[in-house]
This record gives sequence, structure tokens and C-alpha cells, in this order.
Amino acid sequence: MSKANMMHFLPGVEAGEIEKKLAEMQALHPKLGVCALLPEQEKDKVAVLQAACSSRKVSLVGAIFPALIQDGRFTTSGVWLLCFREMPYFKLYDDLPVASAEAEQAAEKIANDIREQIDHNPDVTLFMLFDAMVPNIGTLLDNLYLHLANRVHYAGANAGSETFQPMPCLFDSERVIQNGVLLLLLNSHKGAILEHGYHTNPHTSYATSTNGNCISQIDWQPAFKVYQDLVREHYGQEVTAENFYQYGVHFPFGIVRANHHVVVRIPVMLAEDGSLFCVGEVPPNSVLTLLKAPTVRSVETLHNLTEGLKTLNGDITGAELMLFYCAGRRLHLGMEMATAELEAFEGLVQAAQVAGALSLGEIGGSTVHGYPLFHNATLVAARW
Amino acid sequence: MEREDILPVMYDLVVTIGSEISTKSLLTRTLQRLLYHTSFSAGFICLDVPFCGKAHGQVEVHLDAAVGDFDLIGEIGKPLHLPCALICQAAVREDEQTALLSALRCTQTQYKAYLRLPIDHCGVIVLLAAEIPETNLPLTTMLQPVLAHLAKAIVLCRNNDAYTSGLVTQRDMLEKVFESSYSSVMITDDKSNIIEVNPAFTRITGYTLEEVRGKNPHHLASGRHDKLFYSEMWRSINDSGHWEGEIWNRRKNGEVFPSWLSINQICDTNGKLLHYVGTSSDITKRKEAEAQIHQLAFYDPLTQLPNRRLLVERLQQAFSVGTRSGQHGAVLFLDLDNFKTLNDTKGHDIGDQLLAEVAERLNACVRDGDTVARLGGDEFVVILEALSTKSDEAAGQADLVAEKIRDALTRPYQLSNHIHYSTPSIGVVLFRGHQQSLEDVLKYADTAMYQAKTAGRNTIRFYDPVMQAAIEARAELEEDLRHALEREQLCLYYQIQMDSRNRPLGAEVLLRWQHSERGLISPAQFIPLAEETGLIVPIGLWVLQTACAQLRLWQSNEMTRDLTLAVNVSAKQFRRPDFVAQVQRTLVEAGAKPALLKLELTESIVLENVEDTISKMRELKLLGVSFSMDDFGTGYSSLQYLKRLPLDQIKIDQSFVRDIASDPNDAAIVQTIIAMSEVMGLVVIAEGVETQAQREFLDLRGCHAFQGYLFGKPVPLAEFEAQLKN
Repeated sequence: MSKANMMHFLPGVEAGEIEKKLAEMQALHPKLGVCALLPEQEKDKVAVLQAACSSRKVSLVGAIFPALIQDGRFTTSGVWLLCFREMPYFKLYDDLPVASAEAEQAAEKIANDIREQIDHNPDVTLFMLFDAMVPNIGTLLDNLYLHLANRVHYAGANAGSETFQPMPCLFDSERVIQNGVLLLLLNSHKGAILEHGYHTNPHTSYATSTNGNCISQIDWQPAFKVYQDLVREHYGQEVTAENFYQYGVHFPFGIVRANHHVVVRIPVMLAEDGSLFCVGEVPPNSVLTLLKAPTVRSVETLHNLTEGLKTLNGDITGAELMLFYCAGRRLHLGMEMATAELEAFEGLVQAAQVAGALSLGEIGGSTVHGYPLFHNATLVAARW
Repeated sequence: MEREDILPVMYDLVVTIGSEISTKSLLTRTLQRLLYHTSFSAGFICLDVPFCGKAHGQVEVHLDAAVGDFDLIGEIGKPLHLPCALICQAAVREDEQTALLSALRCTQTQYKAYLRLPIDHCGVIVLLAAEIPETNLPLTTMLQPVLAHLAKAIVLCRNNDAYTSGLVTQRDMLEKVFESSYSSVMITDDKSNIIEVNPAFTRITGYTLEEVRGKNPHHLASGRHDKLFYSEMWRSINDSGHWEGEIWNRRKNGEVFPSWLSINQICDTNGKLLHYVGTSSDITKRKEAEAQIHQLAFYDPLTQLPNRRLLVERLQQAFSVGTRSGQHGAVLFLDLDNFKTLNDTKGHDIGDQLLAEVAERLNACVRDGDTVARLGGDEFVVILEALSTKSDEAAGQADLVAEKIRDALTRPYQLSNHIHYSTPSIGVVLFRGHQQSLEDVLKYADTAMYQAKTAGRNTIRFYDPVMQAAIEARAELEEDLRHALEREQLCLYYQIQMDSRNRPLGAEVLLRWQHSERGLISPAQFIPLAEETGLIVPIGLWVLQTACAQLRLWQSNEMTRDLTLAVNVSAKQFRRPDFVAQVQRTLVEAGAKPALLKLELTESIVLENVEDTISKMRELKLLGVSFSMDDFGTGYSSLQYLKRLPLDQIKIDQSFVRDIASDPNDAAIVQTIIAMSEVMGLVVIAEGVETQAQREFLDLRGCHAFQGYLFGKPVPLAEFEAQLKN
């Protein structure tokens, strides 16, 4: 999507300003469409956006995130208007089912909808913005992949509230929904690059009993006991039921993929029976490793991101880029370091603009045209 | 991945394989996990790969599963021709196989490496990658036990698929039946809580499944049935597992409707109750149609009163009740006096208004449980039930009601802008149980009504058995008369007519009925009956034909060739439009001389329609037929008409002749008639001449033709002819 000056940040969500910007853009692109990113603090302004777009007859989709990324920092006000010369195919699905049979059917339906829209263009990105409260995003992605496989690139992020409280967070021109997904089919788009930069521990364990995002057993033992042992053994820290919530974000699990990629799962809740609840599903029999905060290597992460973007898109100097930054990662690194990471990224890529949001989980392919995975603690970058 | 990781991989694959129960899912998930563990990016599975002996040939296969490649996924289920070298060989991991893999025609990714894993004798798994994934694991041998396990799982899943598919087909069929059934179906659990309903249930009752789920079917109860109804229903269900019948339920909108409901218990093989299934059809329309049919079949559309059919039913019921109770009942047979006149003068609309008003007044005069019916026309019947066991008291009670009715019906009627006064004639008959037949009771009531009518109308009469007997006899006679002609019981008698010199002029033919059982029946008895019933028309024709035939026979005999025959013509016969043609045809067919045929008309015939009479007489006169005015002097003949009639003869009635010698009045009348006839140029004949004095009197006064016992009684033909000879 090599088009300059299509991403516009407005510091206030006001009808007049929005309409003015839309009018400017419409003068250049009469079939203008908009994907808007709103920070949680501005969630009540969706109607303003919808009304403005409606009055200008501009197609609108969008999502609400804990914060936005603008000018190398996080901001909780304003709005990103990510513009399309012509609105690509999009669809909003609400109330996605949880039960496996129904989820399979829902994924099949979504895949069929997408399949109908795919033309001969070899590079198509299925860009997905999920409500972070959907509990089975991994399963849905698995099932989507069974139908669409390598025909599309997969990219996306999770929207919602940083407090993980249910909130309608996905919208189009008329609706604001929750428990759903917003799909956009980006033509001539080569997908996204996803990196976390966590280093794996050579010791691996096996999630021997899981259900969705709950790990009941690791190596046939209660999950929390194994977690305590691992943290004690490898990092010399004593995790208890009481201090668990402080440690989780710093000692997350990594699901080790066959190709040695690691998918981060931050444990966020401890059940009475010793089960651990993570952000994101943990597939049964996953190979788990324990990740440690200090081993996050920011420079390497940013380097990989930048190189990845170049490999995908060629020279990206002066391009407009989209970036999703995991809220869990920011929690782990702290605001200062996370902001520094943003600034460093902007410096590295030399893009015209980087627009993005603080996300509650990220989606990216394991390889080019590869398996879509639901991540935590990552950065997802793509050319707009 | 290190060697120590083999077991967890195997463990994952075995758990994955073991947790699937359908072939499609088994293959897809297994393939997915294999890709995950081996880092190949795509793969497919072909089952039932045919044996192939040629290393460089191709074999037709089907893709049973594909993961990771959109093009391959699109080929699932379709026949494909693939190189034997790719899929028919032993397990192997190969790199630099671009040429071989190009046979797959994948457009999105160019594959160079593959891992082939035969699944025992079931098929093959081929994993694909653009670059061969690094591994130090002996994948082909390491996965062998997993593939053996997969082969067995495929057999089990295929069996299960076949079984499930059968179940699904059956379920789909039952579901379609359930969904498309026009009858409402409701399924409850064993506690009678509704768990499922079909769309027909919703259409009929207005309730969706969500609205009735968990509720008891009594939710639909209309309140029309008592506890006994439901307890009987449940007794039947509990005893026999089934109940069927008509039930009134209530729709969501409050409307009560009838349905035909069938309830069955559903039990498991051990007889444990699982469900109740209620199937019902809304029979509202059928009920309405039945009601309409019932209304049409049993009620008079004008007055909404029961018709004859329902009356008969009610009367039967009343008989049965009377038999049990010993109480009397009464039938009141009503007829409105002069109703026909109202209909003729004011039109049927007004007549109908009167009937409707009468129906209302009648209903107001009786108790609930009594029946007022309309038989048709202006005839109504009232059945009174539960009167006294003593006949005199019952008669008194019936009389009271009859009086009440008479009183109600004689009050003036406002019919449109017209005030009408009407009176009824009411016949009453008592009955008790089945002592009399239903037909008899109605017949007696009719008779009594007829008595009331003849008693001067606006009258109530109780049934009189004597009169009934007379009516029955008359009816019997009428029935016999209908067959008299065909049974050849009718014959003609001839009474000679003479001139003053005792020369026979001819005869008057007189009809006689020789009944096989009753003997000779008096004309006074049967002629009026024939007149009333219309039988006089065929009989009259027969008389005419017989007389003409006789005239023809007499032609050949010198003694009889000039004799005339006088034939009486009835009004009904004469008034027929084809009467003239009939006479003409009869004369021609018989070959009789018209001049010898004399038709005797009565004054009443002539006066009924003078113009028509004159016209017909003239036509017949032209043929040569002559006319005699019978019974002259008994009617009210106008001389003006008489003057215009083309008569030939006037017959002086025997009543004047009888006392001619002793009664100066009769003598004067006869003299006048004779004088008048002379003036008008008519011949005069006197009938009933029995004495010589009468003959002489008449002869002296100018009447020279006679008929009567003095000359001869009416006799059969043979006697008559014998009389002529003498």
C-alpha cells in the first residue's frame, strides 16, 4: 500500500476537525475509506467519528485500544485516521462462538466470505482486529488457516481495555460491537513483521493439560508448582500465590514452535487448584519454556523488525508504517523503556510516519505466508 | 529439536490422533500437528492409494486432507493424477525435488522439499516445504509407530463416519419431517416440561419454543375441559401409553381453538419413561365447516329454526325421554291462515319477513328445551316435552301453550311499511314414549291442524281419530285411483237419451270404477278425488278415446250409426292448452264422426275463463263437435255469456226435473229455460226424467229430448246395445 500521506493524527476527536480532514482527503481520493484507531479514553467519541464519516459519506471501520502510538510515544487522546484511497473489503463479526464446533463453523463462514473476495492478486493481507476478550482467538486463527492457508498474509492486533474489562471496541459506520473481529482484506500488501525478542531458556517443559488459556498441568504436575520450581531454579526467585501477580509479567511462558520461534504467554491469574490462566490460548501438549524479563533484547528486536520490513517491502525510507505494541510488553519494560523502544524504532526505520496503538495481543504469521499465531508481548509492524 | 523431544512429540501426535472421531478431522488435525512438529509448511494426505508398479507413472488419487496450501486445500475431494514417485514409495525425506513437486501445481509457494510418510496400506502423508527444515531427528523411522496408530484410527473413524452419516441422514430426515410437518408436534420430558416444539406448533399456537420451553403443556389449556377430562386423559396415557381425542386449547392471542391431539409416551428399552410426544392438528376450519354443514343440514336458513330433519331427531329424543319418564309430550302443528295470499299480493320478501317474525314469536312462547321447527312454507311444528304423566293434564298444558302461541301470532306484524294481521291454525297431538310412531304423531298433528283449518281458522284443534280414519281412507283411494287405468278397472256406462217419439238419440257416457276389492265405486266418491289430484286429465282422455272408439264401432251398424255420445269434460281437462288438439287427434285416431260427439261442459268451466272457453269451443265447432251445457240452472250463468257461447244444447238439471210436476217454482224455471233456449236456437234436453208425468210436462213445454231412469239407467255397453235392440 505504497501511498504517502494517508495516515493522519488528530489531537482531538471533534466533528469539525474530522470532517475537515476527510474533506481534504476526499478532494484527492473521492472513494476515500478510513480505519480509525481510538484510545480507550476517547471511547465515547465513536459516535462523533461515525457521524462525521456519515456526513462525508466516507466508509469507516476502527477499533479502540488502551493507547495510541504517535510521534514515537504513547498517547491516550486524539485519533488516528488511517486512510484508504478506496475502502477495501471489510466485515465486522460480533459475538463469536466459544464452543469448538461452533467456532469451527464461524471460522469456516469467515473463510468463505474472504475466499469470495480474493482475486488474482498474490499478495493479500488478512488484517484482523479482535476484541481481546474473545477467549479462543488462537482456535479461530487455527481454523481460518485450515481454509485459507498460505493464500493470505496474516496480521493484526487485539483491541479493548487495558483493564481487560469487557468493552465494545470494534466499529464500522453504524455499529460498535464486542466479542468479535473486524476483518480488512488489504490488497497488494505483503503482511506484517512480528517480533518480541525474548530469549528462550534451553529447558523446556510440556503443557500436558490445557483448556483454552488455562494450563492445568505442566509435565503431568500442577502448573503453578512447576512454575514456582522453574522460577526458583532458573532465576532464584520465590513465587507465591500472593506475589504471583507481580511476577507473571516478568516471567512469562514461551510456547516453543517447531521452527524455534517462541510465542509468549503471560500468566495473569492463578486458580485455587494451581492452574494458570494466560493471555491467549495454550494449545494442548505445547512445548513450554520460561522466559525472563531481563533477556528482552530491544536492539535485536528492533533490528529484526526493520530488516523484516525491508525484506518484505524493499526500501521503507519515507514510507508510512503501522505499529502495534503489546501492553504486556510495556508493563514488563516500563513506560520509559517502552517509549525508548518506540523512539528507537522510528529512528531506525526512517519512515515518514509511524501510526499505531498499544495492543492486547498481536497476530502475525510464523513465516511469510505462514501459520497465523496469536502472540503476547510483541511488536507488529507493517507498511500501510 | 533434540532426541529427548521425540517422546513428547509422539505423545502429542498419539493424543491428537486418539482424540478424533471423524476421518476428516483426524487427518486434518494430524497433518496440522505433523507440520507443527516438523516445520514443513504444507502437506496433504491421500487415502486408498491404488497399487502402482511403475516408478515413473502417474496414479489417480483423491486428496483427503490438505493443510497449509490454499491450492491444495481447493483440491480436497477431487481426483488428481500424481506421480507414483511422489506418493507410492517408502518413507523418505527429500530435498531438491522442484520438478517432481511441480506436479502439484501449487501457485502460492514453490516447494522443493518433501517428507513422504506412508500410512501402512491405507495411504500416504506428504509434507511440503520451500526449504527443507533442519532437523537431526530420524523423522521417517521415528514416526512409524504413530503412522501405524493413525492407520488403525482411520479404520475406526471411517466406521464411525459411516455410522454417523447413517444417523445424520436419519436425523436429517426426522428433522425435516419434524420441521415441515403441518401438524403441531410438542415434546416434553418425563416430568411433562416442554423441551421441543416444531414450527407448526408455533404457527398454530403463536408460542415460540423459547416462550414455552420448560413449561407444562397445561399452559395452553383453554379452561373448557373439567378435571375429569384431564384425569381420564392421563389415566389412558398411563395405562396404555396413548391418548387421542379432541381438545380445546388457547392460543397466545387468547383465542380458544379445537384440535385433534394424540399423546404418546416414549420409553427406553427398559421401559423407563423418557418423553411425552403430543401431535395435534388445528381443526378449527373443520369444525367451522362441520358447523356450517350442520347448520345447513339441520336448520332452516330463513328462520334459523330446526328443519324437518332436526325436528325428527328431536322428536325421537323426546320419545326416548318420555319412555323413561312416563311424561307426555305434545306436537303442535301450525299453519298460518291465508299466508299464500300475503305472498301473492305483497311478494315473497314480505312473506319471508312474516315467517321470520313468526319464528321469533314462537321461540318466545316455549321453554328452553322445547323445540320450534319450520317444516317449510308456512308450516311450523312445536315439540313440548316433559308435560304431565296424566293425559288430561298434559292436554291442558299443551292447550295453554297453543293458546299462548295463537295469542302471540295474532298480534299485528310490522312488515316493512305494511301492518299485517295473521292467524294460525294449530293442530295438537299428545304423545308418550314410543306408543305411536313418529310418522303417525306428525300425521295426526297435521290432521288436527287441517281440522282447525276447516273449523274456520284461527283455531286450535286436538287430534280426532275419526277424521284421521277418513283421511287415511281417502289417501288409500287416491293411491288406488292412480293405478285404476293401468289395472283396467275403469269402464264406461251408457245412459240412453230419447226423443219425444221414443227414438234413441244417443247416450251420455258415464265413468265407472270397478274396484277389485271394493266393488263398484261411486262416481261421487272418486270423481272429485280425480279432479283434486289431477288424475282427471288422463282419465278424461281415456273416456274421450273410448267414446270415440265406440262411435267408430257404431258406424258400421245402421241401428247405431246416427247415435251421439255425450262426454263430460272436466275443467282441468278443458283448460289444458292442447285440449282442442287432443280432441281432434282422438277423433282422427278413432275415425269417429265429430258430429256424433257431444261435449258436456258445466257452467263452472265456462265461467272460469269465458274467452278461452269460447275460443276453444269455436275451434271444436269447426271440426263438427257439438256442445251441451250440463246441469244448466244450478250455477250463476250470465245470459250475456250464454249468448256468446257456441252451444248446441242445454241440459236441464235433474234437480229441477225431479219436482217439476209438484213444485210450481221448478216448473216455472224449466219453462223459462226451455223458452230461453228456443229464443237462442238451442236444443233442450232434460236429465233425471223418471216418470211419465215429467216426460209429458217437458214435452208439452217444448223439451223433446230426455234422459233418465224412465228410459234407462246408465248400463254397460252390452246392456245398452241390448236395450237399443229392444
